[in-house]
Amino acid sequence: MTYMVEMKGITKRFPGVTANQDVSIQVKKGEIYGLIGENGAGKTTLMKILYGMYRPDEGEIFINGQKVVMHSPKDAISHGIGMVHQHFTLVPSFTVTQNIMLGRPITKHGLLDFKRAEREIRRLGETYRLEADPHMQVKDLPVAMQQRVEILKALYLGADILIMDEPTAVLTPQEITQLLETFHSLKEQGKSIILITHKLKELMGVTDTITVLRNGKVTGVLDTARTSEKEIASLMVGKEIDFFVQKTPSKPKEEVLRCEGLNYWNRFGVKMLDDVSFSIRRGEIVGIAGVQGNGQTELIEALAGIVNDYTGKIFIGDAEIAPESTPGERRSSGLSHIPEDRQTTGAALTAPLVDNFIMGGTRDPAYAGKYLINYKKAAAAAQEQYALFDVKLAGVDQPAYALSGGNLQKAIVAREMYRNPEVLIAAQPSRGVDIGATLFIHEKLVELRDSGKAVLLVSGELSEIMSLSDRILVMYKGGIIGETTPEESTEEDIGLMMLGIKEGGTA
Amino acid sequence: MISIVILAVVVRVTTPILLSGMGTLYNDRAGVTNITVEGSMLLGAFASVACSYFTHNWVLSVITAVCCGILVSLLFSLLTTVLSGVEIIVGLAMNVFLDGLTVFLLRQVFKQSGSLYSPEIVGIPTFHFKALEGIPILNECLNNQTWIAYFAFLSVILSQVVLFHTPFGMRVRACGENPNAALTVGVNVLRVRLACNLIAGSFCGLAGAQLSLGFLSLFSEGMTVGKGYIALAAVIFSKGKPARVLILSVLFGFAEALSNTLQLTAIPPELALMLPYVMVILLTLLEFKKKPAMHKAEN
Repeated sequence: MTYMVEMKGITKRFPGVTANQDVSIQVKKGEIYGLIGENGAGKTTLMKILYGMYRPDEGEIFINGQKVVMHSPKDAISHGIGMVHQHFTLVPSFTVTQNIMLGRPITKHGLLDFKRAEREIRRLGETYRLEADPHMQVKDLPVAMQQRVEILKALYLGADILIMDEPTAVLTPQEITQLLETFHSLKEQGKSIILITHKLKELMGVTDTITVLRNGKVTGVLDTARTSEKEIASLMVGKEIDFFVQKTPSKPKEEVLRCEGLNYWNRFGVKMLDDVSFSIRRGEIVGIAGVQGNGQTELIEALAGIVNDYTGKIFIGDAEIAPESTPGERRSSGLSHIPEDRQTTGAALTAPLVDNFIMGGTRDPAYAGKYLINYKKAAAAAQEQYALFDVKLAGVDQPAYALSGGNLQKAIVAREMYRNPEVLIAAQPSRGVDIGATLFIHEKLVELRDSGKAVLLVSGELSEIMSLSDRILVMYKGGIIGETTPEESTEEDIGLMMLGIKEGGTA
Repeated sequence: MISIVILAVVVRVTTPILLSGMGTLYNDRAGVTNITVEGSMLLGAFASVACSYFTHNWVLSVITAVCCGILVSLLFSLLTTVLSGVEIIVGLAMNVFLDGLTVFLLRQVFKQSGSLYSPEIVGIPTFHFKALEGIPILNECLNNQTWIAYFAFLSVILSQVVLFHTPFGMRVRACGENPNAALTVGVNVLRVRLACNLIAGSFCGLAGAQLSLGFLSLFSEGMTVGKGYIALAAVIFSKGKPARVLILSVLFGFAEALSNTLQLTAIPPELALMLPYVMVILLTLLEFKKKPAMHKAEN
């Protein structure tokens, strides 16, 4: 039988690493094909080869039985391949219409025909149940909608094979459900989807076939109907793993972070924080649950000092932190912060790893004197700390962007832990990170807690909140709507609180 | 002392700024930082005078100027893409080099230093519409201008259409804002940027011809006196809108015309000549004040 996509014996080497080694995949028509593996396993590289962004060193690609050679995405598109990248490739100031027709403009007398393009986009939207307002500027759209534009863009260019790179990493649970429905309707229309992910659950729910990659090699090709999460997980990491981090009950001591009556209005004048008060004690992990956009981001920004125009009081230890105090000043009072978005605020991507390591701690006596930084010592410290956190790197001189997503996240966690904080704000610490690294980060957070420090965990993954937190605060519309513990409530209970349907505990 | 006659000067001196600005706008929109505007214009001014001196043909001279602009852009593209030079450094180096080159050629070929003036040089003819003679303002603005001036003002509308209503323009803007977005839908980013460079180069060459053959028909060393940089400033402040490039160019043109006029008064000429440049600095300060807080600027 001929496959819609067949990649045979693909090998791709980069300086110092072999990203893909003799990888073969076969995707049938109308199939949802899962590609799973840890960060840096070579999933994205393989798909970039299929999309013509990289040339393989060895191996062949067949589309519908025809051997093809891709020189650029243009070739891939002409063979009916579309790709939605993990980091969206949209032009922010363009409208939905302009973004979609960029690759194949519709013209009339040489000028762009927006009307006809809009009609075509609406028609596409109806066919695949992917409605989007063609007039909106992409920069004003929420993330889920931007993703929808990306899918429409691929379909508009005639994609029969849709590559989705970590599509759920940025979505809320409801949006994920909707996306998976979209996949099903695309499948019904005879499209093939290659889904890159490391979330086992959705992989099990939606795929037909799963290929597991580890260190650039295929470790298993499985029929979804006849496998289990455990089997896949062990193929991914090469050992049987326990899904939940082991931890003992917390022994909270004195209060170390307290905020009273925090209010914050964003630049549009919308109230994003509504009288938020809570405290965290040493030796506990407090989780903040909530549907994205209910004030969690603003709370972190206010605590970390990234925004300063909030009202209310914040105390670290006994000292009050003035609203105008900078992130740096807050850091020196013992606050550390793993930012939500490792690409934009967590790391300086083009800077070397050692510089990224020093950032936020330029006066650390371990490697800095009064005026100068001893880079030899700093590099040694970075090397040591990164090794401790199992960050896979060629050297601390390489730029941060050279690290895969999970490795970069581990590097950021390593840096923040190195500061030996009294309070650590961990925002989405495992977003877009594979199971092995997630578990590792979780263990480190628990270790920090056990050493008598406090952790404020903000996560969109309810299971992460449930497995790590000692106490859970639920945020809804900028306020804290309830407090509970993982023992007292089930995921469903908390889910209802997150939607504002149920109030709980003592807020 | 300042009369309506100044309008004719404003149009004349705005033309090179507007033209080179409009060309540079394509680069700006495509994400290319090409500051060779100044050098292109200077070489264009020299080459057109030189050509006119030998051929007495203004059409040929203008074509030569445009070709020189294109050559400069090709060299810039080669150095910055194939040889991966840093745009600003390459641009600076080329400007200094071109300034020197024109002086060198002036002295070697024409055995002149300072400036080249000769009755042999044929200027670009100007248009005169009898019908407009009686109408004030229009008479000053539209009569006795070269066709390059008309083209410069028309190019604003042309650019608006090209940039915002053609597939090419859409690709240009995508390359400038998110080259990755352009790349992943099959747009050849390098080719689009090269095209923009060539447009900019030819516009700058044309601006140079207007400068040297548009009014006085002479070339003098460094005669662009920073007009290219002023055009760059206009582009930067325009935020990518052709209409704003026009407004800013006219503003700078007005400042220049005013400084020309004020030189004849009691005001020290050195002070008067500073006017256009002071204007740039003032605008920068205004722009600076408007910058929002750091974290908000990211949005």
